[in-house]
Amino acid sequence: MTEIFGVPIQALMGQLMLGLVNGSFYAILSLGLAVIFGMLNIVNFAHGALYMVGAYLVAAAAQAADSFWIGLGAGVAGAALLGLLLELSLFRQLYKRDHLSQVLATFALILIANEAVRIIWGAQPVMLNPPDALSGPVEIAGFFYPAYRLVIIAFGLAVAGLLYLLVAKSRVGMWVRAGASNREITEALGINVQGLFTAVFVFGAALCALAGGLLGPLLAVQVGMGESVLILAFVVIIIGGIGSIRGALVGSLIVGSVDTLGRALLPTLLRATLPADAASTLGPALASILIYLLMAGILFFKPQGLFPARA
Amino acid sequence: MAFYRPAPYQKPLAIALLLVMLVLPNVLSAFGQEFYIGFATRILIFALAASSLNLVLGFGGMFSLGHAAFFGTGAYVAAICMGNGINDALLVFPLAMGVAGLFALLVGAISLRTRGVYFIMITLAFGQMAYYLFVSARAWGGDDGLPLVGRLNFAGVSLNDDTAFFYAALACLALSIVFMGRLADARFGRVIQAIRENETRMEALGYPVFRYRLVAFALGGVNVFGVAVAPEGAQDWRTSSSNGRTCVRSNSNYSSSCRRCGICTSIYG
Repeated sequence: MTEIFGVPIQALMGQLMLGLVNGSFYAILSLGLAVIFGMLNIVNFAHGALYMVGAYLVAAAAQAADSFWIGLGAGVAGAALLGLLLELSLFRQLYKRDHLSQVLATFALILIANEAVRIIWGAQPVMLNPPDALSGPVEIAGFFYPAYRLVIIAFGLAVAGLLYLLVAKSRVGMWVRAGASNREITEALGINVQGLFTAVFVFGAALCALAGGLLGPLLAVQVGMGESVLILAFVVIIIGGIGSIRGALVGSLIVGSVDTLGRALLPTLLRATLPADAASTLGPALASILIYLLMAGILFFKPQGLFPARA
Repeated sequence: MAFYRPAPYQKPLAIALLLVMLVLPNVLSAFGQEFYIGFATRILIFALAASSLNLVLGFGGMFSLGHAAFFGTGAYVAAICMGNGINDALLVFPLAMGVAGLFALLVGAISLRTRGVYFIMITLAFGQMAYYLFVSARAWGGDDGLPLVGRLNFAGVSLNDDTAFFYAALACLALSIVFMGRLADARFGRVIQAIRENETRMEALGYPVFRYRLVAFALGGVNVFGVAVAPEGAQDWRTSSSNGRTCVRSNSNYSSSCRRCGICTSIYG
């Protein structure tokens, strides 16, 4: 068996695949955030909360209907409805405020959502099972992959493609972009910018729930699952460039692979170069902060991210 | 917003509050409510943290989400010193302040190259990095945090006594608030407030904007957080000694409480 950096190639391929799965998951999550962030210019910390609530809704609906796909559909619809209520009540007030008020208001939503979920579903994680048809492995080019993870990759690419068509090619996307760059003039041309913004926000909320529902079977559906993921989604967007769909997709794949491969390879690499004691301390630490170092490095050299949306 | 100018009632109010605080431990002991001395100390320490964030966020207009990391750094410095038998606050406080300040200088030097939401995110990323670093540092307790074996001595007086500890925290807070008030009025304070209002104009007038901001950012790290930290760490000792274990952790509770502090400071700044 061939080895690279002391890791068997089979394991390495598995890690690469895992990186791709994580990247696709980040893509679904951060594409929604990218649209809200880039088009509506809102720093939405509640994105993680919507993701968590979405995952709970999917789990509850899947349990009630005894079908993963029906649950996913119902959960996404529920999260979209919640997004609509939030936009109408709170976010509408935030578009014109500065980033400080936006962060504080949406941070409050995280706390509220965490407690609300704990009251409704309890502190114990909720189980969500993948559909039976997809629980087995699939063979590709001599390697076995879990089918469900391939579905996540497919969803990630599909969402990215759909969003690209919507934002860059469709008339509605053109209106949204126009509204984002100059709201007054777009309104003067007879376009209902407020309605469009509401639709964009609802769409972002639905994507959150989609990500939560898809990841539910792999990770535990639990209180606080949104926070860590939220920061990663922001890292993705910062790396990709705020408001850029392409940037969010590329950023997700970069973050997913760097994070996964770093965790797999760094400890071995360090053990080869450093004394065992230092390596066992430094390895996990360095692997955890690798993507933040990456982000700081990219911001240092390209303060606008890799694909600046507006020149 | 304009330049900071205290309202006419603020000075008498502050003095009155200080007097109340001075007699508070006696009053509480008289009513047999010693527990609340520790509680009040905690409030003072968080006020100290908030006044530091106020310098950076309120006067400087720099929205940093990584501030809790400086708090944590100072706490770890204090705990490590105490673990090695250095118990003198006159030594530990400056050391904690210095290390936290140097860390803030480093973070600021990188973060302040960015603007707006990028700045928010990069400071958040630094906070996360500090968190993961401390959590994986097994020599310093890793995930469990770092145990504190006692409290500091301040110029020969042991702070193990709750009342002494309260007065130490009060002194730190009072000093810090007086310092902040003077700073806001000084040339430096005026410049950073003017930069908050109109950066381009200050740049055109020939002020080195980046350096002013950096110093303010680092001062935020040094000034109060370093001071805040040591008592807070020791405070943890008091509250958790009943569980038989003591911790200082640079955990997300700190950062969320600091974000909450942000709420009060934004009103106050």
